[in-house]
Amino acid sequence: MTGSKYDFLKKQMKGNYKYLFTSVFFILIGSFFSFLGPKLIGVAVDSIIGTAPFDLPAFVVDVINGAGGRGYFLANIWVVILVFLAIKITEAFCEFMRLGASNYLGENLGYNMRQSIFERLQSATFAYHKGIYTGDIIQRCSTDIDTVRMFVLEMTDIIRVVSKIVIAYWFMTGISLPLALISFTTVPLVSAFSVYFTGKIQKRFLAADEAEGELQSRVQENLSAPRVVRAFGKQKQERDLFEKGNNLFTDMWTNMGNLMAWFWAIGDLLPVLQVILVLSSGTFFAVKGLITPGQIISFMVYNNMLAWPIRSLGRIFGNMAKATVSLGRINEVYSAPQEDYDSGIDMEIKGDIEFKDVSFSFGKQQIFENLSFTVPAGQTVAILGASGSGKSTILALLARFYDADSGQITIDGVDIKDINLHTLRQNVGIVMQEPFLFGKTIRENISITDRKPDMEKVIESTQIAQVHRSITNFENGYDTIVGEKGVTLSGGQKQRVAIARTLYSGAKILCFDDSLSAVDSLTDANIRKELHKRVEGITTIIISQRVNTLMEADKILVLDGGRIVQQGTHSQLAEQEGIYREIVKIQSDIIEQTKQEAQG
Amino acid sequence: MDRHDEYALADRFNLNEWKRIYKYVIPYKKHVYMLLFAAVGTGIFDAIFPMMTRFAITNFIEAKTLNGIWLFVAAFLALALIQLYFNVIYTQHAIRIEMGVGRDMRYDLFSHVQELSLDYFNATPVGFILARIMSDTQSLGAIFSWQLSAFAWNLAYVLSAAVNMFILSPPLATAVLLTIPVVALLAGKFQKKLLVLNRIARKQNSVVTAGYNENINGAVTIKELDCRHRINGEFADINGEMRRKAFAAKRVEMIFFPCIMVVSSGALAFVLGMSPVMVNKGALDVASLAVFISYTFTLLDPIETITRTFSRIMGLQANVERVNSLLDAAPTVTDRADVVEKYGDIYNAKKENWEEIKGDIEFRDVSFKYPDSEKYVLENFNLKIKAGTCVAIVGATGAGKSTLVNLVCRFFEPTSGQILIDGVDYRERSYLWLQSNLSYVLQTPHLFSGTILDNIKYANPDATMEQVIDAAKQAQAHSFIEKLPEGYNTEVGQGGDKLSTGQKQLVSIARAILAKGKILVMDEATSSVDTQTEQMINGMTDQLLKDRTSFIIAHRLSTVKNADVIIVVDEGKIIEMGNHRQLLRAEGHYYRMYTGQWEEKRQDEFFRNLHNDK
Repeated sequence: MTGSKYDFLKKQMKGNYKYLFTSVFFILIGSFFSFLGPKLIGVAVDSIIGTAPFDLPAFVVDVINGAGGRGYFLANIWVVILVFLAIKITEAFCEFMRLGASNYLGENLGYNMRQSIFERLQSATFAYHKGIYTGDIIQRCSTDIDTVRMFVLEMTDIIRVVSKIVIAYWFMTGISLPLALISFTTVPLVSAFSVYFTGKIQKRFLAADEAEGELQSRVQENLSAPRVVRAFGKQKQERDLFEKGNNLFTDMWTNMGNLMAWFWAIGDLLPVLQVILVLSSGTFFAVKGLITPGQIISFMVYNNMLAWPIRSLGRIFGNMAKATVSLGRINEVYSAPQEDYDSGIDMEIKGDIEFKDVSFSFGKQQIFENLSFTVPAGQTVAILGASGSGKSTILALLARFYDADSGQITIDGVDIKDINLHTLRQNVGIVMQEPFLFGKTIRENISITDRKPDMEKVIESTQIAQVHRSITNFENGYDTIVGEKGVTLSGGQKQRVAIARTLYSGAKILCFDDSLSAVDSLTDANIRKELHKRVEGITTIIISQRVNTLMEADKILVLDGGRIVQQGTHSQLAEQEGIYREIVKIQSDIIEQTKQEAQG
Repeated sequence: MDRHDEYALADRFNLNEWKRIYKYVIPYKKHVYMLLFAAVGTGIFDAIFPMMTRFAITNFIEAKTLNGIWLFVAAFLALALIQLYFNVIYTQHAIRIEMGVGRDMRYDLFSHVQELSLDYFNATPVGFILARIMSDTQSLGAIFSWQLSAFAWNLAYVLSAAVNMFILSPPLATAVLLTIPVVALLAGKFQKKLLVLNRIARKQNSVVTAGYNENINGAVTIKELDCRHRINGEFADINGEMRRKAFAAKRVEMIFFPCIMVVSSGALAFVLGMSPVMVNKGALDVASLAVFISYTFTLLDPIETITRTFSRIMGLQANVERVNSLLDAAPTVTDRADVVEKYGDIYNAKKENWEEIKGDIEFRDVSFKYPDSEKYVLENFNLKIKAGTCVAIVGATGAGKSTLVNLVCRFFEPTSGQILIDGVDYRERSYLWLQSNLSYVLQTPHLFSGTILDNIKYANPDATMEQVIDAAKQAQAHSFIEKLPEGYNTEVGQGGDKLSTGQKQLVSIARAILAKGKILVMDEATSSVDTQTEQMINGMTDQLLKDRTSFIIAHRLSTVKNADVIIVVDEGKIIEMGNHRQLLRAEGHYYRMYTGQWEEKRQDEFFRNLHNDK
């Protein structure tokens, strides 16, 4: 399951190799042409305008001589110009194709990584989601993906740099082997210096980055707690602290800048020294008659073209290490344990639920032991129990967020493990106590399970959920955006919108996980009344602390210590001695006691 | 200016906005001069180096002599060393300016933000202010250093190369230099387009991040509703949009660079075409021609850089405006000039003139509406609170319980009417005077990075260790602090996140106790902590209330039963007021809340006892 990080990268590259190869192809061609231009100019200056013999391979010289030699080209310089322009336009075209291909590659790769990570996260298990930090994941999905994307592009840069160096030296050795050797001595020197420099400065960079991070946190804390700062009148203290951090951060960067100044300047000096070395030795060679002035010129041009590629080698190696780390971090997310949505049967669901001897534990903590009960289709079952008694876990097991350790849960007689996960979840609708709403309009939130929202159905759902009137009271009605960018809904409104959302989804089994807690008793009763009047054959499981909510259920289960200790209708349980009757008694007691308290 | 839009574009260049931030450069004038000197020097030297090649060719190679070559090498080396020097001072001064200007701006922005009132923070996302203070200042610092010097350097290079080219061959130089405006125009157009497209791409990038954020937070709901395919599809849309927008920017680059290449080769082709004639006429020798060509090769790069720098500076217009707009944001709670004269401002408090506070509070005909709203939440409200009295404010989450406290603490001022403290309108004294006399405990206990000790001493930095421990003991925080390996010197992490919420709250109560304010505010202090901590806090409340005028905002009613006055708030309005018994007798909102909560509590107790019995 968990592939290596390079397997992950390979998967993302699928379908994009053509861009990679196109890019590399045009890099090679382009690098070659980028040297042909100066070569042509060198020869033209030297041997056409000047009088030196042609410094070209024999077959090219033959072609030139066949066309009429130096005299012809001097008289018809436009031929040379046309060739030159043709070379440059080819080079420009190669550059265009290279940029195009690598941009396609980069953007596709970024797209693929973002999308596949997103989808893997959406099908990762419930337990996985309970254990992650959103901020950390987002960091991986943005910064790390970007680092890897850039790096893959830089890989093609390596080819460019190396091919430029190779071609330059190929031309240069063609002109003068000894001079090329002299020039080459600086390549390892400059690369080594770059690597050394990058390594040396890295630690200081990190330290300065940290100082910046600390300052940033300091500001963020200050801005996040304006009330604390003002409530204690500590603005001056905050400013003084900020000033300290601000100065420290500034000084660290300034000091590092002073050091970097030397590094950079030396980095710039080395190529100049190389030029001096090559030029002065070249002069010796030329005076000795070993090479011509034209050759010196083109040699110098090639030599100058080397400065950038050589210096970027060090940078690329530094980035390679960073990219490997990022790739590993992304792959960790990609390797999140996945749910199986493919297997299992797709069936029409009526809603007969049965728990048979179900046991379940979280780590070492046993939640249920041999839990058994049935919910006949179309009926309402209510569950009462202390907080932390595992009421919600029953629902989590029913929706297969977790699988039971032993025992069996069936719907219409079929083990839920044999039902396709889509089918199951579409039919088990759970409304949570603190529902999550999306930053979309209310209409979109309610019809989120539907690609083509049916407004009539939306309104029907909100009417049952008793939230239609509140929504139409908003300025923008159903188009009101929920959350940070829009209207903040109260806890009760959120719960009711979530109920409408689950009703809209058409689930055959409806579970309320204490999701009427923020709604007042009257509205609560109306929701239940409307639900039974308007939705036929729906199976309902209600978890609640409120006796009024539970009372009308066809069956009430009292859960205690991981077992069902009582079950029956309200009237049956109210007559039995036991937890249920005690709870009912508490309610009437309180009303009595409050009356006494009011009198004093 | 849209506070939610990080990437809002300024419409056009506005010099006045820039003039306002120019003052930040003035202290670094000397560094700017040095930087410009080095930049121009570097540019000129870069342009001289090709002449050295020519010199070598003419004087040694063509003359076929090595006479003086050592002098030449020495001179070249000397030039290289001077160049090294230029490069060093260039970077050093640039960083100095960049960091210095950035630092001064950050300081001013931060100081200004401290003076702003709470309404500004309610209406502005933290990220927005943070970006102003931290990143906009940095970009602007870079303008006056790197951008400015890049401009100078490249301009110097182009100019000295142009001069050299004119020396070599005036007619050819004229012709080549004529291509400069073409390139500049072309580059300018591309750069502007690129800037806009890159912004659009960055904006889409934040949409993608928001998509991740929302759908990771909502992942369980997405599973539960089984709408994964729809959500994946929606993300594919914004993700595809990201690819499209990023590519749109890339496409401009893709066309731009080859275009520049072709234009520059056009210039070269022209030089080449003219050269046989020139050389024939004896107007140019071969070596000079080679140098001339190498200038032509390298001339267009700097021009491209100049236009890029230029468009970048233009692009920072929006940053300048955002910085200025933050500096322009005015506090809504301010002290009159004569009050400042007597009591001082937040940075220079004249504590010697501050009166001792007793804690009598009176609302006199107070009407109030929040600045961003039309609706009055208080109308002609009158209430006298004697020093030492406890006022409780109850209601559902989001019902507007904080309003009265906001007014008492002068985070907001009454729209009309007066609030009197010890019989004097509080606007007659400085807000720092009042706020320095508060002990405040918030719902979410914000701590600051640093040690527990730093945090407890926050409001009272001069407190002795004994006093700190005493406060911690009162807040029942001492025992858990002592158990930590580093004790009071334990680092609490950013926002105090290394401690549990309950521990944070206890520390924040110790902080409030040590602040020794005469007015105590407990703003839903127990709503985010676990049951055990809640009981601890409830247990110490009586001790805290002693000798203080206090306001307790609560959702749980068990905490407020004993308050002298209970104010019930719903939908922003005060709906009931009285003591516990009076309110129960009324059988209204308070009665329903109270019985409901009691029922829940009793049930919980019942279940707990059930287990203890077994």
